[in-house]
Order: sequence, then structure tokens, then C-alpha cells
Amino acid sequence: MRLLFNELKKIANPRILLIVAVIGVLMFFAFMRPYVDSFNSNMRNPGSFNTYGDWQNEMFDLYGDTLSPEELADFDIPGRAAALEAEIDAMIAAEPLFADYGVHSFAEYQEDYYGNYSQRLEGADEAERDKFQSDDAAIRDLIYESHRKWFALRALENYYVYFLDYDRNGIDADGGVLGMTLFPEDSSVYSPVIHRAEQLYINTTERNLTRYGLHETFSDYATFAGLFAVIAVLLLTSPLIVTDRHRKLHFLLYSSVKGRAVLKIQAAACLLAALLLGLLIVAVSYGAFFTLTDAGKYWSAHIGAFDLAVVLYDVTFRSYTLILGAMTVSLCVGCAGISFVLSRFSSNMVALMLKAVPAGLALGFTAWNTLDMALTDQNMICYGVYTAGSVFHSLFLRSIEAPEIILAGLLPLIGIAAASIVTHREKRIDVQ
Amino acid sequence: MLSLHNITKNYGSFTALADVELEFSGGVYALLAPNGAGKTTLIKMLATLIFPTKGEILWNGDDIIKLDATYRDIVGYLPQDFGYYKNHSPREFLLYLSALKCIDRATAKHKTDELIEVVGLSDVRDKKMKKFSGGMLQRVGIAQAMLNDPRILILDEPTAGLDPRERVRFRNLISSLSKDRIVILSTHIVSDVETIAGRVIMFKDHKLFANDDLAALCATLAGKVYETDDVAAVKTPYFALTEHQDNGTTVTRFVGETDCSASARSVSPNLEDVFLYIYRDGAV
Repeated sequence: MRLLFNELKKIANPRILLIVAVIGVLMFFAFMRPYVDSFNSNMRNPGSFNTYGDWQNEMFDLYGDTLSPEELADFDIPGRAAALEAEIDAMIAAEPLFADYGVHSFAEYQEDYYGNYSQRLEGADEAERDKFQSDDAAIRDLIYESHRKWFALRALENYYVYFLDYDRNGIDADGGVLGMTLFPEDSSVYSPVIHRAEQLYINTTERNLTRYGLHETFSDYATFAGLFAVIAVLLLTSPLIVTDRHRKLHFLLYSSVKGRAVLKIQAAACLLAALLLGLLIVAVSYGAFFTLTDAGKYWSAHIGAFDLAVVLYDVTFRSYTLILGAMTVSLCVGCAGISFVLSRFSSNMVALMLKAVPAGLALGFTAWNTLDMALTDQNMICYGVYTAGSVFHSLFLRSIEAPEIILAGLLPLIGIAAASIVTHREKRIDVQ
Repeated sequence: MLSLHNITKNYGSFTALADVELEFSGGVYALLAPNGAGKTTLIKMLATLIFPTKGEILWNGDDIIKLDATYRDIVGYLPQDFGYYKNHSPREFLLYLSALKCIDRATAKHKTDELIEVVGLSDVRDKKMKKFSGGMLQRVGIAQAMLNDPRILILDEPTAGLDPRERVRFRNLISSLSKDRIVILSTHIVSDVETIAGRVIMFKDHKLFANDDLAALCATLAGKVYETDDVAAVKTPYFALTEHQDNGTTVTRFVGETDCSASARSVSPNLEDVFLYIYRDGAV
């Protein structure tokens, strides 16, 4: 234990820890903070009207984490939409600028004005163009908030009423097929895993009421945290062996009573350091997300939905968070095993960097593709395995559950196996 | 007793050492040979860093590879390139190596303080080693080699790069440590051997060439070493050893296989003469 502790002390180089901390802070403010802000603004894409805004929050506060047909009816989307339209009508009536452009009601605004921006500019001279652009900005600004809420309500209605309910009830009146299942059940195009999830969401009466894109926002955030964790582990653990070998300390280490077994202890130290660092980064980054947002209120809510992707497993947000955290820690341990091997086969820091940079890119790529949109059909690993025509698609693999979790779990096994092979090999080689 | 039987080390088609037979029982043994002769190869085999291609090394009859940690527990090793952590103090470094040598914490602390005193580094025990001179670092090196009170102390080129004062200090230290243990010292510095070694082991053509005490080795050139300030007057074949200046004249020291007393004065051979004569053809 004393030796393991000593090796951990060697790994915890203050200079490298400082660099890691600086990178972490920079990554947080550059890449992760925007997701916190996006979550808090209730807008998936700020400025876009394609999300549910505050409506879903209100529904969640009223009805809890699921929505029954009775509760959906109680929420009265058509009634609320009508109230908003009346509100916008009143704003239009009170502002003469609308009338200048032939708009006297919200309906006219939607039909004649809203989508005709380009047509209005055709043939206009510069002065007319400038006036129109100025007036248009003022018009949109006047009704922006109400208009955004109206769009969000319509989006909510499209999902909970037209999309999910139509699939349960059959095709629409015009004979068109709406909803998720665009392909027959036995189609080789669709993985059974995706089909199973869709059938669950179509056939259940209690819809999940978690925030739109909650899983996506958090997985994007967690992906950057995971990427940072992998980089941090690589920076921290890779110098250990190469530094000893470059300074020729391995002669003293290998000729001591511990002998070549010291390399096993150093491997264990790298893996343990990665585990601890991974846990710390997950705890701090996830803690920051939950501190800076109110995402904690969805902790026990199920995230199964079909919004930005098909969420393939109807798990709670708590489980989703823990799964992403565990995947991150797992990736860190795998990275440490690989970095240990690279360090062993490098004679100096330059040689190490020549190996570590491409390895880091590969590990970062793996981390990104396993964590981003995990447990959804838009995860790149899932997409590759489940989608016909992909290199990784096959009749066997398309039924495999959670391939991204399997990959994240395989990496530490690969790292530990590689480290074990190297330490075992060390017993019989000449030390130069 | 440490014994080597038929030790051979090949690196591909290159033979670093061939058929070496040696026994070490007590005292200071010096491995004396030019660079590339195989001294470090032998040292590394004794320290279990490399493995012989053929032959075996036995400690009291048991193969040192099979003895594993038991053998390494009685070995203290100072490598030719002594590696250290620049930001460690001698105390921190010795405590780290104590853990590697499986010395319990209490004993390690006591031994560390004692050895720092012995090697004369008490004043800098807590200073970072990046500011140490070569001599100070070598003293830390000998201290770490002594941590486990080894029965076999192996020192690879311990005085290389040291100034004369440090070299003398180091020799005195080794002499004081050589009681009741085997000290194997690898060097190409003849003066180190003359001062402290009881037996001298020489290699030539990657084979064992000589294994004898200093007097016996020097006796091989008895009556053959001469000095003259007029080497042109020497008409018989000779091999020049060294030259030095004496009162403005160049005095040449040489080996003559035949009697040269008519043109030069006979002198007592020393180990340097033997070294230069044995390796006169450049062979290692």
C-alpha cells in the first residue's frame, strides 16, 4: 500500500494538476456553460420556436412526471392557444404599424405576413427595404413573446396529440401515416430495439412529461465532461513510466526487492488515479449542472420520449445521469491502461507525445461517440449498429442492447488487459 | 559466496561476454576494463536487470533468478547513470526507495537519517536534489544502495565525472563500507582500483582475462617497465606507455620485452602500466 501511495503521489504532479484544472475551467465556460444557459432559458435553440418553452414545465408542476389523457384534456391546449391568439389580436389592433402592412389579426399575420419576408423585399428600392426591415423588426418584437408561446403550445400539441395519439388510434383522416413507425414491424431497416421503444411510447397512456430534449442537453454537457476527463487522465497518467525510464530510475526500481513487480504497482496506480479523477470530474461537472439549473426536479422522472431522438430505454433521469457518469469513469480507466502502455514504450516525452496525441484523438473520438445522445437512436454507436447500410450493421448486431454502453465497458477491459500483458512481459526482458 | 559459471551474454550475433567464471567471497573486487568491454553487462546481470544467454549466477549455491526477491534483498546497486527525482530531497528519495526495498517505515526513517550522516549530507537532507553537484548525487546513490545493509554492494562506475576531492571522499567511503560484505566495483579509472580494490578482474575480447590481486597483476610486467628521457636511444622493440615532463625534458615510460637497461632505467610496474599494456592493441 505504501508503494501504491507513493506512485499515486508521483502521478499527482502539481504542475499537471494545475494544467488540468485550467483546461477544465476553460472547457466549462467555452463548451459546457452554453448547455446550462440553454436549459435555463427553456429554449432548445435560443431564438427558435421549435420547443415547448415553459408549457411543459407548467404541465410538470401541475401533473407530475407523467401525463394522462385526462390531464392532457385538462390542460386544454386549444383553449390556451385561443387565449394567446386573442391576446395577439389585441396587440395587433392596438398597433397601427400592423395595419400599414395589411395585418389586422393574428390569423392574417400568420397567413399573409409571417412567411412572406422575401416577397415583400422584391422590387423594393433601398429606402423601402430599410423601412421594411425596421418596421418588420418592430412588428416581430411587439408580439415576440406571445408568438413564441403560441408556437411552443402548437409544438406541444403536435407531439402529445397528433403524433403519439394518431399512432395509437390509426392513420389520420386523409389516409396519411403520421408518427414514428414509418416502416413495417419486420422491416430490416429498423432495429428491433428502436421499434420496441417506439411501440412503448405509442401504446402507453401515461406519457412521460420530462423536459424537451432533457436527455440531449444533459448528454451533450456530459459528453464534454467525458472528453475533458479522458484528456485529463491522459495528461496525468502518461508521464509516470516514461519519466522513470528517461531518468533511468527503472534500474533502481527493478533491482530493488520489489523488482519488476513495481511495474504492476505503477499500472495499478495509473488505473486507480484514473478512477478517482473520473469520479471527481463527474461529481464536480454534474454537480455544477444540477446546481446551476433546476434539472434536479426531474431526478425521478422517466425520460423515455420521442423528441430530438427516440430514447431507447424508458429510464429515470437519475439512472440516465448515473449511466453517463459510470460510462465516463469507465472510459477514464480504459484511457489510463492505454496511456500506461504508451508510456512504457516511450523513451522520452517527445516519443510519448507522438503516440499520445493520436491515441488521445482516438480515445476522445470514442468518448464522444459513446456519450453523446447515449441510449437514443441518434447515438453514433447505435446509429452505426442499428442502421441498415452501415458498416457495423448486421442481423446479429442490430438486436444488441446498448452498444455504446458495451463499448464504454469494453475499453477498461482492453486497457487493463494491455497493462497486464505489458507487466507480465516485463518479467523476462532485459532492462536497457 | 557469489559465483558465476559459464556466463555468456549475446545480443543477436554480438557477444558481449563469453564463458565468464568468477567467484566473489568478501572484500572489494574491481572490474577493470575499457569502455565496451562488458563490465556493465556483467554488473547488470548481477543486479538481475538482464539475463545471461548461457550459464548461471549462484548465491550460496542457489540461482539468483530463482531466488528472486530474496537475492535482491541482499544486493545494493548503484547504476552507472544514477537516476533520481529532481524535486525530491535526499530524505524523501531514500524513504521512497526504502518502500521499494520493503523496509518498514520506522526502520526506514532511522536508516535514512543514519546514512545521510554517513555520506555527509546532513546539511542538505531536506533540500531538493536538483541543486546538488555530481559528487553529492553520487553520495545519495551510495546511501540508497546501503539502505538494506546489503551483503553484496554493486557499484557501476561510481567515480566517473567526480572531481579529485570527491573521488577521494568516495573511495574512503567505499573502503569503510567494504567490511563484511562483497563490494563489486566496475571502473575504468585505474587510480580507484589501486586505492581500494583487493582483487582486480580484467576482461579482454569479451572474455575473462585476469582475476588476481594487485601485486600479482603488476608482477606480470616485473622487470619489463622502463623510463627514459631519450627514447630515440632505445634500439630494441618497445611499447610506449605514458609520457610526462620532468625538469623540462620528456620522460617516456615503456615496456620492453627484452633487456633495455643499457638505454633506460627499470621501474616498478603499476596497474596503469598493466592496463595500457594489456589493451595496447585497442581490443576490449
